[in-house]
Amino acid sequence: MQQRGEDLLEAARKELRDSRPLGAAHHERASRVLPRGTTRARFWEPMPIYVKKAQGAYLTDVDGRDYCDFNLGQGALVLGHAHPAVVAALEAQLERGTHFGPPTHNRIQLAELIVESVPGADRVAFVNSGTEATMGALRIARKATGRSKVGKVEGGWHGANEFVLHSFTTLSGDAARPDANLDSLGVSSVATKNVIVLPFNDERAFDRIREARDELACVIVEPVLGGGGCLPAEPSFLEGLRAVCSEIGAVLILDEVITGYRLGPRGAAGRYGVTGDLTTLGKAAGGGLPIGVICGRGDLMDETMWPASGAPGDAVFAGGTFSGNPMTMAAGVATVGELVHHAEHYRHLEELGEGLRVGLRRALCEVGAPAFVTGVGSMVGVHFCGTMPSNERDLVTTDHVAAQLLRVYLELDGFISRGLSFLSTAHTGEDVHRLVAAYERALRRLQTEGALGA
Amino acid sequence: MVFHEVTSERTEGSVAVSERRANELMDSVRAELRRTRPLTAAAHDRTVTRRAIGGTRSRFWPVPIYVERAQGAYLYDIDGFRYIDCNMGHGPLILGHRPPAVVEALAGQIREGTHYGPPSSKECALAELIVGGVPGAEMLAFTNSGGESTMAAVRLARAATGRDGVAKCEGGLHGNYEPLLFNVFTIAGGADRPELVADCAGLPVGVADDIVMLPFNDDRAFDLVRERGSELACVIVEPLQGSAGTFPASSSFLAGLRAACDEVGALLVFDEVISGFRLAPGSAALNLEVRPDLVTMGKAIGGGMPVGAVIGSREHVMLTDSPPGGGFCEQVFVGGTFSGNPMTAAAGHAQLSQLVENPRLYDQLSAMGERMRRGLRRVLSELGIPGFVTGVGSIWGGPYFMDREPTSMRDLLDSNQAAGTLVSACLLELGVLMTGPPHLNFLSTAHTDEDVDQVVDAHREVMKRLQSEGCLP
Ligand SMILES: Cc1ncc(COP(=O)(O)O)c(C=O)c1O
Ligand SMILES: Cc1ncc(COP(=O)(O)O)c(C=O)c1O
Repeated sequence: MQQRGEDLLEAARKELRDSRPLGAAHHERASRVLPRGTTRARFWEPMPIYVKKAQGAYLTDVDGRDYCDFNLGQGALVLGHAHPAVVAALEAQLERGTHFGPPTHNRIQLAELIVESVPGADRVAFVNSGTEATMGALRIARKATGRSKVGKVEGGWHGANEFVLHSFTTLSGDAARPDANLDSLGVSSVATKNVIVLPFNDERAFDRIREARDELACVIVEPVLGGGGCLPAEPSFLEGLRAVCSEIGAVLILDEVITGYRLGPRGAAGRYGVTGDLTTLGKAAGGGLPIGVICGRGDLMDETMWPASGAPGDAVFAGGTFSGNPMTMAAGVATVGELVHHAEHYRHLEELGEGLRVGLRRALCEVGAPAFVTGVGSMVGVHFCGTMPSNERDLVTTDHVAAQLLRVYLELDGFISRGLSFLSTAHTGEDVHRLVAAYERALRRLQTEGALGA
Repeated sequence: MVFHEVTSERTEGSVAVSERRANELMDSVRAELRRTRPLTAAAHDRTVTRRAIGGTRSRFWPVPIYVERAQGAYLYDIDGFRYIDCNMGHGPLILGHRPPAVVEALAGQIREGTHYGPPSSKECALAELIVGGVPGAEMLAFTNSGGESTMAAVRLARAATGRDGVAKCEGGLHGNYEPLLFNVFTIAGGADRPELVADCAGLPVGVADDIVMLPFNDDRAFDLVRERGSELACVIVEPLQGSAGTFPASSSFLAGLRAACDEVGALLVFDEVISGFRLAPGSAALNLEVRPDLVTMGKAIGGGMPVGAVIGSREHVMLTDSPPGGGFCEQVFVGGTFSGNPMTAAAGHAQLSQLVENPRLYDQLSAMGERMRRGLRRVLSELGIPGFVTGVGSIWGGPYFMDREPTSMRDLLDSNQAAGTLVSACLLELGVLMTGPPHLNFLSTAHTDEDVDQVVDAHREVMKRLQSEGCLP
């Protein structure tokens, strides 16, 4: 079976190369200076397509092939590619300059939009990535509590921040008390000593948190596990985390890098009615330019980031050269302004998401494929595993080869859809129908090839 | 930003007296700037009192300033005042604000989408230009900031050596990665064995145990490296210390670090977030004998858009990649959502192509930098003010008001920082924008000799005023 899978992958790679000669040549050239042809090759095995341009819901590669894009820059582009409001805002900023040392007015504007829309956000700090946002949030929590450890759930993804980069895909130990397993080489053992891994969607997490009450600075959680497989938290789980964090005086950090401005104008917090002490944002908040945001309670952020004492060691540092840069701020103001002030966008996104989930379930059923559809709003996951997954452990049986082949077959067919699909306001019901039909074709091909287990 | 000494109290000498006087004068300059710049004052109040925004870099400015637009060497604030920009976005804008090639590249990219999930066709061309500028390098991986690139470099070094220790220099600023946030702004202990001080609150317990602190430009660093050699994954050093006060590392210091690293089996990392493509069309190592194992860059390579990169041998950079089908735990995780995005790639490529194709631009930049340093030194000596100006190429630091020529941030502890802050604030009134101490200033190819002379003249005027107010000797 494994050999069969590898043969099929090799055949798919050949098909990609043969049908995309310019892309294949570019891949060869790029592989000389970038690890397997791009900084993030692992998402696009066995060979990435190389994008030349994008508009609305569509990408065009260097071979001139079009793709309907359900990845949207890893979820960042809620308004789709090159939205007219974003283009206009960026063109106007380009007239004024792309980057300055001192701040600009649009930094205040984006901060005010965030304060207006994100529950519990009194203060805002800008950084360049979701990774930098979670790094900063953890430091705020440690400073505020005087404690060092961080609670994170199995399957939670918070970026390259090594102090949470654990037990994302590497799972072991008792389900109630998972081990902390590093998900990267080259990290000091100090990181692992500061992490407590919690079961997701499992009440036993609360006792684990209580047990660590003297050392736990914060719990960081995605309201919907994104990279971990589009698995929504049960409302009771989030409410339980909120309560137990308040009880033991730990900071609750909602990592809304994906869900912020995607699941609603007030993010997942608005949807679930749970408010974090801190919230991290990224992706959509920058309107398609690099961004990370730390926002949250005024007292918490004031005392830790801007304390009265002037000594550097008393303040949490977060930020850098390009933090709050005016191009990101311009695109962010255009995007967030559009989304927050036009509720109809979210009705559209909900309809598309629901349509896609229903359509995919029907397709899987018709083909008789052993897979499950998860998700909420404009986030949709497809999983080749044994049961309807509600946490990362349910996904250990996932047939990754089938999932990867499926993604490549969709690509060959003109669709970009990884296990986790995103929708944008630029997508139409028709796009969704076409994706469902493409899934059906790809699934049937997998079936014919004997690549769908059971 | 003001740097600190944790140990000794400043003595009540003449320096302390003039510092007190400087602080008083600072209040009146602040009031005057508020009066003449009402829109700036309103914007500042809106941020601070109504809805505070994280002071992303505001700590660098002696008084608030909000930018309306910029062109070439000039920056205009929201009250309509024009400034000669001596900061250039903290360094990246070597060709000035809005160079036509960069504007054109970005204008095109904006209409073709700013960010994709699969890689863009532009990432490779930028990577080729950067790798081509680093002697001995073969590959790179992109990040979104200089801080993420030093994080990546430390991880690669740890993975390559199987060790956790990291040695860095006092005053070395490497971004916001936890293990590197020690002794960035603070000097403590003796130069023979600096004392570790965290310059950021909220670092996890135990992080400090991995860190070895070295004095900068001081041979005693080599023994400190050897002492904990068997634990060390890498030594990270800026070939030109930027935020510490613009101090080039001496070639003997770098050679000594190289030798010590080789001896103990640690990697030598050059943090070139500032120096990369600033001093030469590529790495500062182009002008040096010493070769690092890994180089980090940021700032200039993004042409004004957020960027970072870790650059090195194929063997090292490929550690970021897991074998096909391999898990996360078999790779060094580097990168994120926006790494290698096409806006950064387009702007970076446009800027670097100009620099690589016209290496003479560096001669022009150096000549202007020299004119600036010479001019400022002349002003100091004309006015009889003991002080120094540091720097190399198009970068300069100072004026530092002190009696002895500084070669590291440690030396700057003797300088009159309050007067330094005041100089930056008063220069704003005269249409010159530069950060407070420890000053780190940049020129671009858009600056002219006339701009340089105006900056020098403005310094003369300000220092005369400070002299007459009793803030400077
Ligand atoms: C929930 C979540 N947090 C943090 C991050 C890290 O963000 P970035 O990739 O911008 O560093 C991601 C990125 O995918 C994410 O999904
Ligand atoms: C030498 C050096 N390294 C790293 C950094 C961090 O880069 P960034 O601000 O892009 O995170 C800086 C920033 O000023 C720097 O000067």
